[in-house]
Amino acid sequence: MMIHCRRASRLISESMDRRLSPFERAALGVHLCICDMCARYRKQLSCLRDAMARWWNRPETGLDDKNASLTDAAKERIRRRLNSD
Amino acid sequence: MKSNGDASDLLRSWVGEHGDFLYRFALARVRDEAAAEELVQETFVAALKSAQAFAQRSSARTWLAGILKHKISDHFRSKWQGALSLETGDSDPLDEAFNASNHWKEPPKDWKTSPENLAENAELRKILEQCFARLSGRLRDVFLLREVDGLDTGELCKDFGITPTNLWVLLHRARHQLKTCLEKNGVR
Repeated sequence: MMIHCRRASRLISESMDRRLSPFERAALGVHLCICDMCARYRKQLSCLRDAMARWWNRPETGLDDKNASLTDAAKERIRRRLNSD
Repeated sequence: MKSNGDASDLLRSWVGEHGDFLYRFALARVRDEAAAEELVQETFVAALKSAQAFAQRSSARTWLAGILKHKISDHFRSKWQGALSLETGDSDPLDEAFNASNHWKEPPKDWKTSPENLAENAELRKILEQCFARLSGRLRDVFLLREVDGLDTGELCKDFGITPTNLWVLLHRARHQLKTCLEKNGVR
């Protein structure tokens, strides 16, 4: 049942992407009870996930110009595609 | 939507209403104006084909963004063409984090900051932005689709043609690199 920190860190991350097996859940649970460091790591990754989502929900994130928009010509091209299809 | 003609009228009106939103959504992710425009067009075309599937209970914008996310994931697949598979020679950032007996070399710090603070506080957000910019291209793209856009890992594996294990390792690396960078820059 004992797993080391490296394995625990991997399971912590994977638990954010898949359902762990009952054995994995139990092993990670036991490890987190006795290892403050991995418990902190779990808290960090979960904080990071929430922060990323919040940050990317801001309208300007990832853009050089937050008002970037399609040109009128581009909109017209798209409308024409919708006619012909 | 009754007939295809109705659907086509409705979608044409949505180009004006949601086109710019979808364009900014795509541009922030693919960082290429021509590609972003193309993806928005493909999204509308796909939407017209599956207009029957659109249930009024979800908002048009959410529905279109859902289609666009998959178009973006297709775009990244062709961009990376197999470079998303792990190479045996790849350096693993996790190797740095653990000693020979698989214990932490540098114990993770006890973060007191909240996700809200990290994303909203101007100074902290700048650090988050800089650390995110340091992720390698493929890690950035995969991480965005999963962590921010919430695409299902099964769908991502299918889109990218990689195994689940491969994907989990990439995501763990991305999370770990970001966390390490934030800590180095004083986030607690």
